[in-house]
This record gives sequence, C-alpha cells and structure tokens, in this order.
Amino acid sequence: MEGPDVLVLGGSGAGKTHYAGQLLGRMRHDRSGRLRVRPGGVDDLSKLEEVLACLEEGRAAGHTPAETWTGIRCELEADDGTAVVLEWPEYAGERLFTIVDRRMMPDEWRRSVRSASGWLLFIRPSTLKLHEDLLVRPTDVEPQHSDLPTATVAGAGWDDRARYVELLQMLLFAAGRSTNEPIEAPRLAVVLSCWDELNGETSTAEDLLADRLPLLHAFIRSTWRGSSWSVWGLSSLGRALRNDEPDQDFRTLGPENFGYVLRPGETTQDRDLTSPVAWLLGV
Amino acid sequence: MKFKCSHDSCFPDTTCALGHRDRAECEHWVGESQPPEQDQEPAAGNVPESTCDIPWNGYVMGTSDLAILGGRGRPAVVGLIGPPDSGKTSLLAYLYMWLLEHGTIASWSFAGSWTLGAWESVVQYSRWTSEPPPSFPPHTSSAGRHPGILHLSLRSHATGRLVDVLLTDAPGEWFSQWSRVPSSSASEGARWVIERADALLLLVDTGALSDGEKLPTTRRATRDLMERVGAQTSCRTAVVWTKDDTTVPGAVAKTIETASSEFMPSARTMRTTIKTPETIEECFAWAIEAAASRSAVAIDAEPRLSTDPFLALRRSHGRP
Repeated sequence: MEGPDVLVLGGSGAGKTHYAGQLLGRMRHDRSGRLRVRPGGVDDLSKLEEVLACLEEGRAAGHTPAETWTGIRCELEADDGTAVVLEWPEYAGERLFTIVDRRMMPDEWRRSVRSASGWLLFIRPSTLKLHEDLLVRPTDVEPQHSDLPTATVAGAGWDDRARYVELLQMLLFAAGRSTNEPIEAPRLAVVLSCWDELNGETSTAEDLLADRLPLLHAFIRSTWRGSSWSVWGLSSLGRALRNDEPDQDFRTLGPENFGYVLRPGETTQDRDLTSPVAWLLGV
Repeated sequence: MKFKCSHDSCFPDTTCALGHRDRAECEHWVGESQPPEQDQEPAAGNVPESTCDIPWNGYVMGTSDLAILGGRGRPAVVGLIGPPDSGKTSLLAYLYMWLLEHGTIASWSFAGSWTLGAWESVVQYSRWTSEPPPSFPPHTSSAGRHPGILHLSLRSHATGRLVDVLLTDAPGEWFSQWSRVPSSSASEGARWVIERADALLLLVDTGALSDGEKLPTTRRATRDLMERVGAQTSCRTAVVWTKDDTTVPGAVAKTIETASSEFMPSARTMRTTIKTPETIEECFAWAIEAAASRSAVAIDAEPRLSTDPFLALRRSHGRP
C-alpha cells in the first residue's frame, strides 16, 4: 500500500459509505475544502458507483454487501500544495465487530491496522446499545441475589461502551502498539455520525462522547496523547434521505452542497467534510 | 485427523504461547487420529478445534493467564475476602457499573481491561433488560481451585503511570475454610489470594449481622477470618462494612470492632452501601492506591551521556 492511508472503522449503519460518497464528491467538485482530488486522481470510481448515483438522485444508498472489501485510491492535494495518496477501505460494517465476537483478526485487517497512519472511528450515537443498570436506576426494593445459573455474555451482548473499548484494544494489539505510555500514532479521529439525528444537540462532540460513552472516552484519553486524537460531529447528508423517494433539494443543488462537520471543541457547523481526514493526515 | 496443541501453557481461545501466528508451524500442534467413521467426514478435516488471534479471551483470568501481563510490570493485586454472601461479587459489579458511567475511579482513569467479557457477565443480572428485574449477581460457585481474576488497566491523572490491577473474585466458603485450616488442600484458592494480594478488602456483612438467624454463623466466620488475616498477612487491609444501610445492634458491632482492632490494628475501616455508590468508589480508590503503591517498581533510569546513537548503546557507562 502506498503513501499514508486511513483505516475507517465503523459498525453496520454507522454512515461510512455515505461519508465516503460525500467526501469524494467534496474533494472532486467543491475545491474550497482542505483536501482536493487531483483531476483524474481516483483510480476506480466504480467502487463507489452505487452511493454516488444515489446521492446525485437524492436517495439513500443501500447497505454495503458483506463480502465487499475494496480499497479506493485517491491522489489528493492539500491547501499548501502537499500531495497525499489516500487509500480508503470500503467494507460492510458487520465485519468490524466480527473481530470482537469471533476474536479473529483477518489478514486484511491486520495489514490495514499496521499500515494506516490514521484511524477514523465512526460511532452513530442514535443507535448505541447502552444498558441501564442498578447504579443509574436503582430499584425501589432491596435487590436480591439472582438465582439464575452463572453464565458468560458473548461479545454481541455486551454494552457498546465495553464493545468499542475491546475493539480498539484488539486493533492496537494487532498494530503492535504498546500503550504503556500514551501513543502518538496512529492518530485517532472519533466521528459521531448522523449528528442531524440528535435533535438540536448543543454540546461539543467530545462532551457528547464523554456523556454517552464515558468508558470509551476515558480509554481513549488514557491511551492516546492529547494531540493525537480528536472527536468530531458529522452529518454527511445534513438530513435523512430515503431509499424510495428522492430529496428534491439534493437532486437540484447536488450532494456537494449538503452535509457538515462539528470541529473538535466547537458547536457550529462547518461544511468542509474533508477536515477530519485532513486532520488525520496532518495536512 | 483432528489437531490440538499439546503445550501446557497453550489454550485454544488465546494465541500460541510460543508466538507462532500459524499454529500449524508449532511442534506442539499435533494431530490425533479419529475413529475411522469420523475420518470420513469432510468437516473433521484439518480444522482446529478453535483458535484465536488475540492473547486474552476477555473472560475471567486464571492463574495461567497472568503471564501476558508480566511484560509491562508487576500487576497490583486487590483481594476481596469475606464470608459467603458478604457482597464480594456485588461490590465488583458496582465497581464496573461505576466505571461504565464515569470512566474514572478517584484519580485513576480507565485505560483498558482484558476481562471485559467477565465484567459484562458480572453485571448482566443488574441491568434493566427484561424480566426478571435487576438483581445482584448469583452466588459465586466454590467449584475449582483458583480464584477468578478480573483485570483493569488504570492511568494515574497525577503521574501518568499505567498500572494493571487484578481483582480476585472467590467464593466465601474458601475463606471460611482457610480461616479454620489454612494449610488444608481445600484452602488453596484462598491462600493464593491472601499470599499474593497487595491490598485486601475484608468484607463484613452488615445485613447478616443484623439478622438474628444468620448472626452467630456470620459473627464467628468474620472474627475467625480477622484473626487469621491479622496473623498471616502484612499487606494493607481495610475492613469494609457492606450493606451499611442496615443497622447492626450495638453489642454485635462492638464485638466485630474489638476483633478488628485486636487482630488487625492497622486496618482501615470503611463502610459501603449501594444507596450511596460513592462509598463503593471510595473503597476501591483506597484499595487501588494501596495496592499500586506497593507494586510500584522504581525504575533505575540509565543516564543519557550523548545524543549520538552509537554512544547511546545501553551499558553501565557513567553509572555510580
């Protein structure tokens, strides 16, 4: 694999594919962002054919097939003229948590975690599986000891606060990174996706991460150096699209005019969707 | 032909103990002939029973699993001991629920765990999922000979130091047996905890002491345990009165306090109740600090005499 590349981490439905389509659209057609595709710099557009076509029509793209693992290679240039090669993996989200559930690290993942200079972790807050327990919601009566037989909970049944930590631990191990001291590489950008679903959330993305996933937030703070991780809010489309009914604004204005990010520490919308990737690549 | 590993330290759900990525390359990966009728089945093939690419399986550690932690320092061991039903596993469940909600314990920030599946299993009974309503974990089985070990990595806010903390979850019957006959073979698991702990939390079951029926047994078990612990360990110990929302008759409390001050004069006294979870956080904050300070290893830093890579060769130059 040539040049710096980004490992995209996200479960099923986390919004990776829509972001990939919008990111590519921004980098090709909106030249005001931090990163731009050099003309003709995408090796194979057919790999994102479906999502690009859907977005142009104002429709949501379908689910990425489970067997898909494709790398989309883009030659980019930054504001200051720096040339960067971006290798963008595209895969079905359920493959990611199969690593935790089966405790196996396929070779394609092992290669990617070792070579990537930055990890882009997608978390969709509105779909998190978080359990309430006796600490946050005590019972009115004194709890008794369960008389159920002792049983272990398989990975798929874990609370997402633990599941994301386990995923990152396993990937760090596969990448050969010691966490005895806080690490600088790979850089980590946590992207809280589908921000438009949060009904006017007014906090910063990091505050939201600390509120919804305190265990993961503490793990990241303890593991990465402060300058090597960041949390972003993201709405790739700016609104929900449907599969069956086109959004007329999208059709008319073009998808590059929709979507926004919340930069780390900020609560205002910034339409440069390339900035999380630019931050990861250090340009 | 069915394959399995013959090495004592290798387990099917973790990585090869000798470091082989492909187990087939290891001399201990041997085939076992199957009965003829099974050999005919294609599924039997050369498929291993099960294997894993990660050296921890996520569930409670046994004593054989601890070697993977040794590479980055000596872990701090916190032993939870007490009579049966004194609340050891429930206290651990609250510790994990606290971490899920806060990410920190006092001045320690969560930095990972290699037993997240075990923590999730402990708290599964305490979650609002469906019927039955949430409860405390079931009684810890006294089967087996070694305690279940739960792991946390924590980073100090103050110093940035990373410490691996091991918390033992063992059945109360082991400690009752150990306090009666410490040298018996049935006390092996309790001995493991007592001998290796850097800090001990000795739990006093306030609920049982306030229950006339359970009082005699609990009082005796608690005082016997205090006497043994005082005589046989030198690590920092706290006497933790669990379920502190119930009231123990003054005379009963006095007998336990007397035993504590007589047998364990330097032990700290703490009280916990689930109605005030901060009391549980405070209890573990003390234990982790006590255990981590004992397990700390002073690193003798090599003096840096030059920035030239050739002269940076690590030898004893310039050392006193």
